[in-house]
Amino acid sequence: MIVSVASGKGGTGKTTVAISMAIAAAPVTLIDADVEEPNANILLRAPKRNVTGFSVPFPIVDPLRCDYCEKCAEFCAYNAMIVLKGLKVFAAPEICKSCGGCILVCPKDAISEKPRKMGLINYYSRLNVNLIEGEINVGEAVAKPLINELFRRLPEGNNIIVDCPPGSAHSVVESTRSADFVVLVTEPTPFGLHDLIEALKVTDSLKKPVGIIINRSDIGDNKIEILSEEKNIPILMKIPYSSEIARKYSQGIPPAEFSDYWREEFIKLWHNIMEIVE
Amino acid sequence: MKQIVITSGKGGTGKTTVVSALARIVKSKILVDADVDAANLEIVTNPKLLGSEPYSEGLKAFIDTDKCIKCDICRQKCRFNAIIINDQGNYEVTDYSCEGCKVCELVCPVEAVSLNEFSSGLIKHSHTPFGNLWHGELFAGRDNSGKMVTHLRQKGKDEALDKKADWILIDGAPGIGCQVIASITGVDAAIAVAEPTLSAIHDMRRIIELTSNFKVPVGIVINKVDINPSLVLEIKDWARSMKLPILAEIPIDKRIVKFMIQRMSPIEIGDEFLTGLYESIWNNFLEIL
Ligand code: SF4
Ligand code: SF4
Repeated sequence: MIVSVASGKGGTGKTTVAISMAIAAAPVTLIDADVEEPNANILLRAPKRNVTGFSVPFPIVDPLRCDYCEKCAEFCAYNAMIVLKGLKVFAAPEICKSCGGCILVCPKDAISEKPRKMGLINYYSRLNVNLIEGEINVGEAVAKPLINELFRRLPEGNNIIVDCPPGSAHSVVESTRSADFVVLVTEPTPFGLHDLIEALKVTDSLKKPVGIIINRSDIGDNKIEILSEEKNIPILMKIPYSSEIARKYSQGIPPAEFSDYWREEFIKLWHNIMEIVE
Repeated sequence: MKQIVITSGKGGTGKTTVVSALARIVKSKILVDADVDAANLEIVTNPKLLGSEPYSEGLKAFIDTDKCIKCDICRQKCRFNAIIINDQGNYEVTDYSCEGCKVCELVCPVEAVSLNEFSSGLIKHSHTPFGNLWHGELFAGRDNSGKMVTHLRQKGKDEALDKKADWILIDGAPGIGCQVIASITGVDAAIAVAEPTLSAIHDMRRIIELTSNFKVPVGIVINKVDINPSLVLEIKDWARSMKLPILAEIPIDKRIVKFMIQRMSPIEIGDEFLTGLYESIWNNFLEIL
């Protein structure tokens, strides 16, 4: 079973929920797909077991063959190919999407590809949670290839929890696409509500079963509950604001680790989701 | 005219709340919400829509099934796995995955593929009591490539020049990817809103690495200081070592959310101390500029 934990708005407690659920559901594989700001291991505090570089294919132009015909630059849909006539032809690394088109159009066969490193895949493990974390290098613009790579590495047969990137853009589609169930974490504020509605559009279009967790459930209003009733989406859990949870979180300790009560609650949550999926 | 981005790395540290307060403090400005993926500034600035226009960000491929001979070449060449064989056995482009690279059009032997403009959102222009606001609405699931952010910022800049506004305040997006790069490129300075949690500190460091790549001066606001006072000290030590000024330290205040629910900023609470803190963000920031 694959359960993705997402949230339209950042900072609602998505990672706290993902880690707590992972601890409760262990043994489990946790994927940190928030590759721009991977934070799961701040809360798992696990030693690094392994690390591999992640590269994308990147076009390299052979100056001896290139005759500056500019066909590659004309073709590139992202204007990534830069032609300095008579001097140099090269692709801009942060803009190129590795589509391979310039190679196909070059009449002189002057373009080949080399791997270009754009991030890391880190492996951690503790408390029977195996964490696979993607991390793009600072300055890299496009996170999607790394997210896709994480999903190619899913172990067979294991239960999998995915900590998604925040928002409701394409990267969330990538990280919820293969899920059997999506947990949306939100907070009872106008910001939380607005962004939850956006996230639901993604899960609706992917036809995924969803449930809502309301974090800091007592700080705001009841509009999330009204929405969940209207749309017939179960509220799986409410986590009231607690300065203890906030303080422990700040030190990297999730509720399921320091509190027996919350560990029990997250175990119930996991069983509840398993039942819904079956 | 100067462009200022308010950013954070991690979401939920209170970035938009800071912008909403600055919107009430700073005179003569244009507002830009660059967090098109979760455009929340409109919630706390009472906008009246002046106009909106569809926004298209590039192309998506379309396969004409009448012409397609099912040779499979496009599917093999598409690096984004965007071409699938659907339940009817026909070749189809999944528009979520298509990057509009045109490779399929190039390789198709029977010209069955065409590329069309694809609407990916709306650009909105609104009047607010605090200056005009440019905000976008990225349709859910669309690619947040940063182009929409660049577009909004250009619109904001045109208007600011036209109206001779002194400032453009940009509410940035979380993360460090294209949408963030697009909101940082070419700004005069940045305000990073952090909170004393290990996650937020980690993310702030990454965003400041990015701003220093762009040689953008940054000031730091530490929000929700009561969560963990010892981590506040850690942020301060780190900031000192990086020669980054701390602009303000803001406590948790339950009224902030209560007022946000009524679509108001912390300034409307009318608490002198709190208002003073937000004012000091701006006053200290003017000094670093
Ligand atoms: S690989 Fe594609 S995106 Fe990169 S430079 Fe070539 S045509 Fe442009
Ligand atoms: S345009 Fe590019 S990404 Fe889109 S379907 Fe064709 S080959 Fe794939």
